[in-house]
Amino acid sequence: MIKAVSGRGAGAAFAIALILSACAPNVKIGAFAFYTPPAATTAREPIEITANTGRQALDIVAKTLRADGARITAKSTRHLTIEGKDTRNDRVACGTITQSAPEGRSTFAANAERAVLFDAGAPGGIKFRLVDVETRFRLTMSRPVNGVSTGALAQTHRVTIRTTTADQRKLLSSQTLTFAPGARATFDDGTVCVSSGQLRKVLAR
Amino acid sequence: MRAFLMVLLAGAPGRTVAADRAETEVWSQAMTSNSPEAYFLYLSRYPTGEFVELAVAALIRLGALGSQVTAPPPAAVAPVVPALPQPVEPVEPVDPY
Repeated sequence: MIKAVSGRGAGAAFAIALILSACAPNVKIGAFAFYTPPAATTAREPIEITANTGRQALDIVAKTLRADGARITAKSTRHLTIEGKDTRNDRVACGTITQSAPEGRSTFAANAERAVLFDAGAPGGIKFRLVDVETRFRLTMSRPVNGVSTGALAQTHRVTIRTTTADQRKLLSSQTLTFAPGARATFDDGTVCVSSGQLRKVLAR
Repeated sequence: MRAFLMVLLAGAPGRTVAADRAETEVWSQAMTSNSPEAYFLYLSRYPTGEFVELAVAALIRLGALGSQVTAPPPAAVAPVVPALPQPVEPVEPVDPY
């Protein structure tokens, strides 16, 4: 009986999710594509590192960040801070683009490093859409209390969206916006980017 | 059963492999066909795909992108024969009167 009720509940939740996704504000991009902005950012996970000393906590987070592809530019064992940057595009979420070209339909993340857009105005009917992301961060660890050090993370994302012709890579448009977590960066082409919280998730694992 | 469904919904690695295989299949068909339509089909289905650069390069090669200036085939160009140097004859002085 309980199973039946939970199954019905799950079905209702699924139906509501479907309706909500259908109601998501879609923006038309050109003749062939629709843009869906990213969902609101999720709750922030606390960064807690098990360590006996602040220095040990710092070494652990530095190792974790490096393993994830980040570059450490400054490290202070005195102030228990780490500064660095990384260029992974998944540090931001920019929604999705659904493209219905004459030959087929596809949906892809709007923060994809490189995508082909079908555009009747572009030479040959296609152009490149290129997204570069640079995230700068500063992490301050606390002195461990009961063997746990907590971290305060500050970060800034710098996102550049460019379009070029497909054949000669001639620049058609370029825009760069810088923003911090909690903010929404809105580009001229309608793309909205927010912090994905991915860097925090890497540290909170 | 629930675990199986969860894996399916979460987009398990197996699903990614299947997606990769489907993309490779469409790309192989495009290469075999070697027509603009086939390459455009690949690009429309996989606009962020692994073979995007190769597909665009193929379209350029086939002259399917509008602004591409295609060189005429070599056979259509008349061969240019370098002019041979003419023998120089000694010039005799001409009497103006």
